[in-house]
Amino acid sequence: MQSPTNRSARLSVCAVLTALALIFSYIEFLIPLNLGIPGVKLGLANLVVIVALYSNGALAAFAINFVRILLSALLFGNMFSAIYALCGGILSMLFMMLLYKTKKFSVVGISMAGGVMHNIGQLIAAYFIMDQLSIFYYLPVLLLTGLAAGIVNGVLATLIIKKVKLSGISFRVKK
Amino acid sequence: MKRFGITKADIILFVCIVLLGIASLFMLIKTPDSGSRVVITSDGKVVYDELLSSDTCLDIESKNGFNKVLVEGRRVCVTEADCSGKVCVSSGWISKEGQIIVCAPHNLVVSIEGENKTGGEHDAISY
Repeated sequence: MQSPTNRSARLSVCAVLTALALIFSYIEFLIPLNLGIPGVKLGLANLVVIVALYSNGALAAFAINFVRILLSALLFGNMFSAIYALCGGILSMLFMMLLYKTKKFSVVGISMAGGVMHNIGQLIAAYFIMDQLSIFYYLPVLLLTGLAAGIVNGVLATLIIKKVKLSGISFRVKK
Repeated sequence: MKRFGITKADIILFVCIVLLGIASLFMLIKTPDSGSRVVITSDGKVVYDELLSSDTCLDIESKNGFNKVLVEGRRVCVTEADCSGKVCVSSGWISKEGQIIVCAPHNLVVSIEGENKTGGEHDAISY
């Protein structure tokens, strides 16, 4: 059983990471990165989620992502953006947790899967909301951009996780 | 590569996604015909269905928000919107059959369709 202090410490670490992820969401909302392909973004919030996955475990990462999506939809979006974000977020989160558990993938690999599954989740949501089969015309674009964003995030996450380890600061609270 | 601890599984995953991307590219893209009708769907309902050749400027308003759609010279674009990402505006012009502009937060779809199709029904994916 965890002592109350550990539980509180865990809770506050998760809260700080959620706030950080939310700030990243907000930055991407404020300054959309225009790469010539409409709707494509880096998904910096996922960086925080991946670092949380490695430092605090799957459950904490899931909670951080879930709360982040709800808050960002509440603050900057509407009902539809909430549905899209939730579909993308939950599908990518499930795949990242699954790959993390297999222990066969590196941070970059997990981030790649996360980026791609996020886009596929949003595409599936779009298909059900709009009932337009032609939406799948975006599939190749979304697959490849999700992959690229995932690799960039994965490389950044690897560096961050290494730095966190080197500096001796540990997010993980001892059980 | 070693620095980031790339594993064999990572590379397999990478190759699979790239192959899937290329395969879907070839499956979905064929030379599209120039379309003939503009169909605008807002919140699941068709609100506009006219010939592409009739130039017009439309204000589409729903409970989700506002979009301005311009039909001009056999092509269509969304010129203004009060949505958050402005993806619909940055999508630019469309003119070929099967192409669509989507404004996800407003649940708005602007699509170009061929002669004999009714809105929302597709036998196959074109483009």
